[in-house]
Amino acid sequence: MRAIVRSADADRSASPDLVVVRTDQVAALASACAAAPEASESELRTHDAITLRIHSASPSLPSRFGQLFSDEDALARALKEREESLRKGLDSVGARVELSATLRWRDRRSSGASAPASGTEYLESRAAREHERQRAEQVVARFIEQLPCERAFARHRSCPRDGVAAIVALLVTRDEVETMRTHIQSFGERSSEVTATVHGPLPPYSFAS
Amino acid sequence: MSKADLALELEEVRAELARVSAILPDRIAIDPDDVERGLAGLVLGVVELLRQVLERQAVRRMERGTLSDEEIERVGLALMRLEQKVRELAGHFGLDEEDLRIRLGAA
Repeated sequence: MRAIVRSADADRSASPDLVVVRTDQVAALASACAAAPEASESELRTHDAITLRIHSASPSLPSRFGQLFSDEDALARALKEREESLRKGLDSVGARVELSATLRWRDRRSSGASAPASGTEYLESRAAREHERQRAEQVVARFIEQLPCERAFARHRSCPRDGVAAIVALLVTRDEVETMRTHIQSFGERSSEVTATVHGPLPPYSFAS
Repeated sequence: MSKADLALELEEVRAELARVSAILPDRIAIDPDDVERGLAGLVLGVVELLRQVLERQAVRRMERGTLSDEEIERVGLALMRLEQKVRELAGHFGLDEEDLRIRLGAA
């Protein structure tokens, strides 16, 4: 599956390479495939290009890569079951796009890739990780506070990988993209703890569930 | 352990469980075409979540100094082995960390 759109928007978003499966209120746009696609860079880029195209045509909830259904009936059943919540999701996300800000620690300390050799080492490494997570939460709170957006339009993951304090997804209107980009970069320049990199605009992947 | 320490720990566990119950989904989505994997993901997700609750509690107790060195080693070892086992079983069903996290929200 590639994305969910309102039923009324399905024709506008559809293209010859996509299958449209509808319920009363929502429609799924999917690509027919004989086997599960490989999670390769090229397949991921193709998926991203399709979801971006769909979202440019109408409000949509992009699908995570690799969501498979055995046939159109299975997809229709799944769609029917979640119809109401999907419609609400589409209403709240609308035509907004996602900007993703990656906040990286300036004092990059490795969490230590080697496996702990004892129970004590294990628990101490977890304590260090918990402290890092708490520090990341404080950075994210300060970061969101200075952005011109509602807290409800921001989602984040703290310490998703080594060296990264957080990845923050922001839902913004297309008009707000450049202003928001400037605010994010400015935060990174002023912060003594993290740098900030912006990606996007993207389809609203982080707000689609 | 004093009564006050015990009351504090109980309160922390209660708060942790309240936090967990707030992020649990209203409904559980299991793909009818892949029940075994879906069920494994759900069970392992719950086990992993509880393991994380216990781990946080153990870290707090260690930092508060209410665990002896021997207890720290024993609890740490148990949690480490449980984590290894969850990963091993998840791998067996073709599930990664993300699969377990998604089923139960961002713990």
